Amino acid sequence: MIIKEKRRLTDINRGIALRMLWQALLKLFYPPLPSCVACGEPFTSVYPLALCQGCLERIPFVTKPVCSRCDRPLRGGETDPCRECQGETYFYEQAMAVAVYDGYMRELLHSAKYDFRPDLARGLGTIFAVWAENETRLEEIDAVIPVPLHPEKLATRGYNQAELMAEPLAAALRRPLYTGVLQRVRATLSQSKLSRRERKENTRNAFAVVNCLAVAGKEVLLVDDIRTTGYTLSAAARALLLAGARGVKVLTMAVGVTPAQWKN
Amino acid sequence: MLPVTYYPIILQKSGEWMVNLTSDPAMAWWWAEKNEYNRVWSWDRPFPLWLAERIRENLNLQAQAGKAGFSLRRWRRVVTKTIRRHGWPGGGTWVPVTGPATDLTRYLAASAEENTLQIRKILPKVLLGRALTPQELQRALDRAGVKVTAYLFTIALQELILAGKVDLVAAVGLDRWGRFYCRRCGERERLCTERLTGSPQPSRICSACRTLGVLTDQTPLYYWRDEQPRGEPPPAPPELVLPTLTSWQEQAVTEILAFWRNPEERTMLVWAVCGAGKTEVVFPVIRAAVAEGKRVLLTVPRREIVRELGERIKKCFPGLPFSLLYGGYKAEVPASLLVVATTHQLLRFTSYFDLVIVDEADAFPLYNNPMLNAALDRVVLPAGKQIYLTATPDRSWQRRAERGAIAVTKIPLRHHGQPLPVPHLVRTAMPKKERLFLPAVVRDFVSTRKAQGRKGLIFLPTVEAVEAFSTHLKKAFPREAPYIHHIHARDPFRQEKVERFSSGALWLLVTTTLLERGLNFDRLDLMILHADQETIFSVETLIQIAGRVGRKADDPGGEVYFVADKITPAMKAARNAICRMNREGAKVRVKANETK
Repeated sequence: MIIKEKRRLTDINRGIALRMLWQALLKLFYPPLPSCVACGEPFTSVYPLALCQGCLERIPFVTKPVCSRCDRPLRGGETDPCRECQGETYFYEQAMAVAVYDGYMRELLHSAKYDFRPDLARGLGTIFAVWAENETRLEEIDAVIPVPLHPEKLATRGYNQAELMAEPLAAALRRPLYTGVLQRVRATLSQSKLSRRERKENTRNAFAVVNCLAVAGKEVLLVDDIRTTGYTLSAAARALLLAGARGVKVLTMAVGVTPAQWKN
Repeated sequence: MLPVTYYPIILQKSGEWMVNLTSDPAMAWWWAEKNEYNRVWSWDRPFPLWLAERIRENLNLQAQAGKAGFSLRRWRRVVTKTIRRHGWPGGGTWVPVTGPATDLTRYLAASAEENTLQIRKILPKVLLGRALTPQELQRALDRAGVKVTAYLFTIALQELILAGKVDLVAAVGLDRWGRFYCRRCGERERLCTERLTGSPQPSRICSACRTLGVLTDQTPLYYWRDEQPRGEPPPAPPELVLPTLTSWQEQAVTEILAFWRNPEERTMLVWAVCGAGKTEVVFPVIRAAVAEGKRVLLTVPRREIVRELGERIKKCFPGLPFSLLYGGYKAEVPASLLVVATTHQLLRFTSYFDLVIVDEADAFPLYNNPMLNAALDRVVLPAGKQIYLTATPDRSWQRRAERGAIAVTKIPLRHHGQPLPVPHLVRTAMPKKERLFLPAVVRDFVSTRKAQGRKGLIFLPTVEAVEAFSTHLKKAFPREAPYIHHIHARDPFRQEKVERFSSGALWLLVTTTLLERGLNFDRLDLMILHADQETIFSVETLIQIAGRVGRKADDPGGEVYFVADKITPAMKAARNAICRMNREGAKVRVKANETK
C-alpha cells in the first residue's frame, strides 16, 4: 500500500512539472496581455495608458464649453467664468480637470481611495500623463506637488492616492515631483460630509511648506483627485505662495459639478 | 495600515540557540529572561516582514546544516547576503540586547493581566487550522467573547511566536525560487507593486483575493505551528434525525460509509440526479466521522445555499455544535468538529480536515476556478478524504470515474421514485434586442399558467435580456402583470421576490441562471429562452435548470422547454443525459420493487 501511495505522489509531481513547463513555453510565445486596472480584463495597451478602451469610453471626460478659470463644464446657458468662480476668489490662478466627478469616474475614484487600490490610483495617473501631452497650460510648470494627507490618515490608508496619480504625470511632463515639501499640519475633517461654509473653515491653515527653498520662485502644479468647492486646493496654494512660489496651478482628476449646473 | 517591521533575533541558552522575529527587541529580551535564555542578539535595524521571514529561514537552514557551532560572524554574513540578494538597501550588524531599551512597565502590567491569560487559552482553539491576518484574528477573538486591546493582543501573540507555537509569515511572500506569491490564494501573476507609506521599497499587493481583505507583503499571517491538539471525540455519537431514506439512497449511504472506512480510497464522487436528496445521503458519514473525533468540512460554492444548508444541519443534528461561515456572517464554535462554509472561506484555512464534503461541486464559482480548487486540496489533511456531490459531473470527472481512479456512487432516481421530466426542444424564431416579440410557445406558456394553477420560471441568458423581456411581457399581459416579476443577481430584493414566488403571490418569474440550483418550488414548469447560448447555458447548466421541475412527491411531473433559434449539441446532450439517467433509474426502481 505504501508503494502505491508513493507512485501516486510522483505521478502528480510529474504532471505538475509538465504543466508548468508547458505554461512557461506558452508564456514565452504568447506573453500575457496586461489587464486593465479598472475592470481587470486583459487588453492591448496603448502606452502608457493602464485602462482599456471600454473603461475610457465610460469615463465622463470634461467637454467644452468649460469655464476658462476652473474647467467646470458650463451648462444651461451659464456665462464664462462660471458662477462658482465669480463668487469666490482662489489662491490658485488656474484650475484644470480631466473628467467630471460623476458616474464611472465617481466609482473609480472612490475605489482608488477607500478600497485599498494603489494600483488603480497610479493607473488613473496615466490618464493625466496622456492628457498632459497636448496641454499648453502646463508648459510653464516647474514642479509637481501632490496634495498631502495628514500623517494619521496616511497611516490608516497606507498610501496617498494624489501622490500616486501625480507620479506618471510628473514623468510625462519631465518635471520633478516634490512629495515632502508640502505638508498637512492639521488633521482636518473629511470635506465630503461638510457644508460649503464649513469646508472653507475646515481647510484654513491646514497646510504648511516645510522646505521653502524648493518652491521659491517656481511655478507649481498642485495635483489632487477631486475638486468640488476648491477650498482645500486654495488653502494648499496659499501655503505655497506664502513660501515664495511664483504661481500655482491646480490639476485634478475630476471636478465636482453641482446638481444645479447639470440640470437642463 | 502602517506596516510593522520586524527584527531578526537570536536567543541563546547554554549550548542551544534559536532564531526568531520580533517587532520589539525589548519584549523579546524580557521573554528571554523569563525563559532562561541567557543571551539575546538583535539585528540593529528592522526589515519588512517578507524579508525578515526570508532571513529567519536562511539562518535556520544554516543552523540545520550543522556546520560547527555558534558564530555571530557567520550569521552576520548570512543576513547581509540575504538582504543584498533581495536588493534591500543598507547593511547592519548583530547587537546584543542587554536590557530593556523601552519602558517595560506597561508591558509587564499587561502580560500578567487576566485577559492575556484568557487569550493564551482561547487562541489555539481559534487559530487552529487557520491562516489569519491580525485583524481577522482579532475579530475571531471578539466573536469568541474575549475583548482585548490591540496592545494586549500583540503581546500575547508575540509571546506565542517566541515560544514557537505560532508561526508568523508574510501574506505575500517569497517562494523557493525567490518569486512572490500570495500565501492565501496562491496567486503569482496578479500581484501589483506599489510603494506604500512607511516603507522605502515598493511592496506587493495581491489583487486576486482582495475581496477577502487586502494582503500585502507586510501583512502578517498567523498559523498555529505547535502540534495540533485533537478534540476529544464526543462521548456518544451525535443524534441524527433523518427523513426516511429510499432504498436507492440507503444503497448510496452504505457505499459512502464503506468508502470512509476504506483507507486506500481518497476521493469519491456522488453522482445523483437533481432532487435525489444527495445532501441527506452524506449525513450518516458526517455522523460516523464526528463520532470518531474527526474534523469534517461541508462546503458549497454559493452563499444562499450554505445558509439553507446550515438550517438543515441544525434540524438533522439537533445536539451537534458546528461553525457556519460565509461572507459577512460568521457563527463560530471554537474547535468544533463540523464546519459548514462557502468555498471562499476555505482560503482562510490550512491543512486541517479529515473529511471534506463538497456539495454542488460543479457550480460557479468553484467550477474551473484553480484558486478555489487548490484551496479544497489544501484544507484536507494528508490522510484525509474528499467527497464531491454533483448532479452533473463534467467529462474529466466522468473519465476518472470510468478509469476507476476515484470511487463513484450513483443515485439515478429522485426520492419520490419518478423519472426526471424530459425537456422539449423547441426551435422557433426568438425575439432580438432590436425587435421584441413573444414567440407562440412563450405566449401559450404564460397564458396557460393561471388556468393550470402552476407557477412558471423563464430563464434568460443576461441581466439586460431579463429586464427587457420582463417589461415586454408585462405590457403584453397587462392583466397578469402584477403576478409577473423579474430577478437577477444585482437585484437588492431578490430574497424577498423568491419568497413571494414560492408562497404563490407571484406566479411567473423571469430570471438569469441565478435560480439554477438549490431552490425548491412546488407545481413548477419552466422555460429556457435562448438556450442555444452555450457560454451561459452549458450542458451542466441545462441539466441543473431542468432538474428544478417536479421535485415534490405530490407533483413529480412538470414541463421543461428549451427554446432557441437553433437546436445546439449542448441542448441535445442535456436531453440525452437526462434520458440516460432515467433509464438507469428505471432499472433501480424495478430492483427496488422486486426486493419489496
